[in-house]
Amino acid sequence: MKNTIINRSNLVLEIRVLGGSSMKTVRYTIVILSMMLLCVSCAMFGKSKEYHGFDAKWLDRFTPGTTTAADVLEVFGAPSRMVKLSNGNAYVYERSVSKGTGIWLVLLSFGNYETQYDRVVFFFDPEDILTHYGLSMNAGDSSYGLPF
Amino acid sequence: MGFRFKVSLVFIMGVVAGIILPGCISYQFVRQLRGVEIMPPDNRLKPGRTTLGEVLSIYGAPDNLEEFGGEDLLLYERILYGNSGLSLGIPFSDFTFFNPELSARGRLGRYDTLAVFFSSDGILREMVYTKGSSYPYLKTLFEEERATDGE
Repeated sequence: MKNTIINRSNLVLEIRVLGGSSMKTVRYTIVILSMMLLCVSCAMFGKSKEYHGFDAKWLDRFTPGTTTAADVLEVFGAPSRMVKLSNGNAYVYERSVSKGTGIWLVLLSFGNYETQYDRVVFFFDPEDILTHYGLSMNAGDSSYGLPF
Repeated sequence: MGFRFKVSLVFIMGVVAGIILPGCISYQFVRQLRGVEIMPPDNRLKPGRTTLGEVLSIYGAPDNLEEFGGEDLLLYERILYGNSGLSLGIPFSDFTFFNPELSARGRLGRYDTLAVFFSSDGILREMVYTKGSSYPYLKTLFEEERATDGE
């Protein structure tokens, strides 16, 4: 049977033990070292966004074969990138979400940083008529976590 | 009384070790992931038949695209970085000019890539898939580069 009193004001740790003391010394040593480990450890969470305001629902307004590049620009605004292709152009709209997690223990530190993207790519023919578009919405899948 | 002394000693040593040790020896591992998993190409992708529209409906928007020798190249990519570091040192810098430190760091970037080539009329011509993330971290990091026969 044991009784533990921790007085935080002056950091005096008083332990009364009834019974053999050597095993309990080991036990309390482990407890105290674990407390030390926790006291000098810390954790970090962070999130960053590269934002571009667009919505996948807006794609319903476009019809390949009739929609023009001007129509896309009017709805989506300025693209993140424009790419010259062999038979036309592509407009790329992109945004990302990154989430970071870090843990510092006494001798070990671990970090995890994940970035995922939302992306829409519009393909136009040489007359600036929309031929295809591709959509990937994965930014919401970015997650916190440990590296293993 | 003796027991209390031992516990107090352990407590003080724990505090001192907690303050000093992080400056003496530390190991860090940071994983960075960019992009989602890329499916290997299956029998839905047929060179000479599959169109750009079909590839876009299967894989979504590409991560990168460019014109390449009169053809269009669409790249789907997932990048996995592993950064690790081990440092040993004695933090004397607050007291002296002498601050011995030895550290080793490594960074490995592994790429899962699907490269899809289209002719100018939007028909799949060729595709290449590589799953770099399947390479083991430490073995790949420490493996020496070997020259090929042609070099």
